[in-house]
Amino acid sequence: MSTTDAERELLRETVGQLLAEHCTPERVAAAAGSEAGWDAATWQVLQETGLTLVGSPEERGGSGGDLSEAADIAVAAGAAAAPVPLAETLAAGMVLARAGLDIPAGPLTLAGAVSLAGAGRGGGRVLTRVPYGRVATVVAVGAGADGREWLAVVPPEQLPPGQPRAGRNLAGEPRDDIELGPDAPVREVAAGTAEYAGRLRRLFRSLLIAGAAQRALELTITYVTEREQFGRPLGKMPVVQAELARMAGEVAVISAATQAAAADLAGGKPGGAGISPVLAAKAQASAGAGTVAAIAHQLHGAIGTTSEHRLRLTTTRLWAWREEDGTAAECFAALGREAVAAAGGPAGPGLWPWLSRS
Amino acid sequence: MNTQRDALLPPVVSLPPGTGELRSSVRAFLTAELTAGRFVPACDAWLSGWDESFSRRLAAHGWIGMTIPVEYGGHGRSALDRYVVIEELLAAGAPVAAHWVSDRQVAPNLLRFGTEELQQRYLPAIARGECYFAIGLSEPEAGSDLAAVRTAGTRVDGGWLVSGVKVWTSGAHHAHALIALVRTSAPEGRQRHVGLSQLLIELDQPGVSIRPIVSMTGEHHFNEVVFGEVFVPDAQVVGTIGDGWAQATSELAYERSGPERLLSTFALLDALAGQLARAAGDGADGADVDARAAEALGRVTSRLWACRQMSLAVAGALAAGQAPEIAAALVKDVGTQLENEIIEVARTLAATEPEPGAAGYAGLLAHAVLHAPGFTIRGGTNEILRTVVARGLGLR
Repeated sequence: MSTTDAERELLRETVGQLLAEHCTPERVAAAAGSEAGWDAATWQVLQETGLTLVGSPEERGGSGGDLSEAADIAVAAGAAAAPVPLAETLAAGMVLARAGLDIPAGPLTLAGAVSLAGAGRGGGRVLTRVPYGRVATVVAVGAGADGREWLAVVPPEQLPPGQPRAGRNLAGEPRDDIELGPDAPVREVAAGTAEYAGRLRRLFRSLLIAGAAQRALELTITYVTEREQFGRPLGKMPVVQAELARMAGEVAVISAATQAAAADLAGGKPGGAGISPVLAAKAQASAGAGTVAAIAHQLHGAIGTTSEHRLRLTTTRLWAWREEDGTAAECFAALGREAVAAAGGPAGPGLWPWLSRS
Repeated sequence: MNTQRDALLPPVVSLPPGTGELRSSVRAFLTAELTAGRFVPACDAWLSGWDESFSRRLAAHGWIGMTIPVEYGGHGRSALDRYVVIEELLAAGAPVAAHWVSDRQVAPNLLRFGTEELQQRYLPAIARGECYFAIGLSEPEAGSDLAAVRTAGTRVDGGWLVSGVKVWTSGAHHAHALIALVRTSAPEGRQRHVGLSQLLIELDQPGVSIRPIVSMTGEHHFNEVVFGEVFVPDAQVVGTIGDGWAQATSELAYERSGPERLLSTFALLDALAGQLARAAGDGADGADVDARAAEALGRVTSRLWACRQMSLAVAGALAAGQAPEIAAALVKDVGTQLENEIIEVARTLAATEPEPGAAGYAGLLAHAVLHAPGFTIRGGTNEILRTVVARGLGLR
């Protein structure tokens, strides 16, 4: 069932207000400084609304709704710098549902690509830099050498002592290494599940970047409108206007790319001989994130570089997320090879058909 | 703050399923044209590729005047259908210059503001690919500051006497007419937008003289058109006297955001990709392509894909009757910079020096480099468009 524009707008407003209320700069900063690394109270509120499992079918324990709505929630989470695995749970829920599994309660997170050799053979595999691994149920999907695919679900209470090895990204968000125990139960899943999981991880990270980029623009517009020097707002200076327009251009590119990638995945069209929207979106989101952060800081001046000012909560996320689930360089290289393959030889569709496919 | 975020970009658009078949038809036509050697893919062909017989062949397939209603000789199709056709032609580097202005802006202008008489006189001929227009806006003293136009219309019995100079006016030496922005009454103090009108002026008449402006490429596309007391009858007034500014600027969002702001150098990018494929041995998966080349190609193709999504979003919003001014300006700013970046990539990755007039890659590259300065200047300089964006974001 698809939702109307009005329904989607209402959802965006509702989520935005809820996150604004709970994800205050103080609480976001406090989460990063805490050992648990997250704001459990915010999570509780979100879980109770059912927003954490939008996009997953109700039969599996999800909240219903489709990927487009889940995407909107992820953008809002990025904008709010929400110190909870909201985007991660949305993505993991969808993977579990796709695999025909019931979705457990509580926060979820997808591990990155991992090689899983088969039933009962999860032992020794290290899942690296898992977002919120220390508090969330980890969902790991991987393929063995024989091509069969396996899925492991690891709740935090089932981790052996000494686990996980805690880590942080630039924004202070938990990025934890988890070693799967020798008896970690894995079950076989259909071919394509691992690729689907990877694509969702990449898409949701892109959507988080889009939200953060939009927030950076809003904060900067507010700042240059209010801050006065030389007897007038900074925003009246033509050079400031030009830099803001440059920033807006990057934010628009990131927004369009990530929205289109979500729409493509939501549309359920089979992958084909065309540019991968999720890969292209992550490429542009990763590439543009730094530009957006740099202009935001430049226009905020010194105050924006302090611990006290809220700007860092957004820019550190832009810097962190651009490296996760596909750096710009990695994505560009993969796309470039695809482009050449499309352009070359009698079997290639041609560069334009490849690029205009979606 | 929410309103600013929402206003930045309209929702992205998925093209309707029916456009797939239309796209295939255009591709089949272009393949046949290329096979028969009727055109060579070129950069910036919507400016420099004037080919009247190509225009007529295109029109015979129903691909000019697509959004003109059937009763005026058009095809009554949607703006998104037209978008698909246009982007296919531009990506192929096809010579669409002759009918470009007529189709893109004169037809919509006449449909909105023209009298029945003007519509009947020009629209069917435009749709047949036989009637060509130039743009009558810029003047020697009025470029970015369009409201500073000095071409004057003096009221006489039954019409107007027009004197002044229009400049750039690409294709005027071949075109039948132009719609000129003319000052018909004095501005009201600092309100310079007041007192301007649109007059449709046929170019083959006494009092009109056209002088070539040769580009740095050595090509003749641009002109200076001098009007010396040219009589323009009342029947040739477009819309309302005094409403010229609003009428002329009403189409700006379309002009700024179309695929022509992204694809002027696609023919070169396509040629580059083909070269890289051959260098990599035409392997099935592109695995052997040079790492530096792969990264550069991935960078520009992903950005081109993203810009196309922005352009489509604006096209969808325009079709829905909205006016996404910020997004349209951003498409033009970001897109035309990308057109230049594509040249940079093509220039640095291929082991070919540009040579004007040469066949193949060397000539294609030379043509692109020499045309490049125009991309970010025409259609509203990028600097001015950034002021439009700043205003839209509430700073001015």
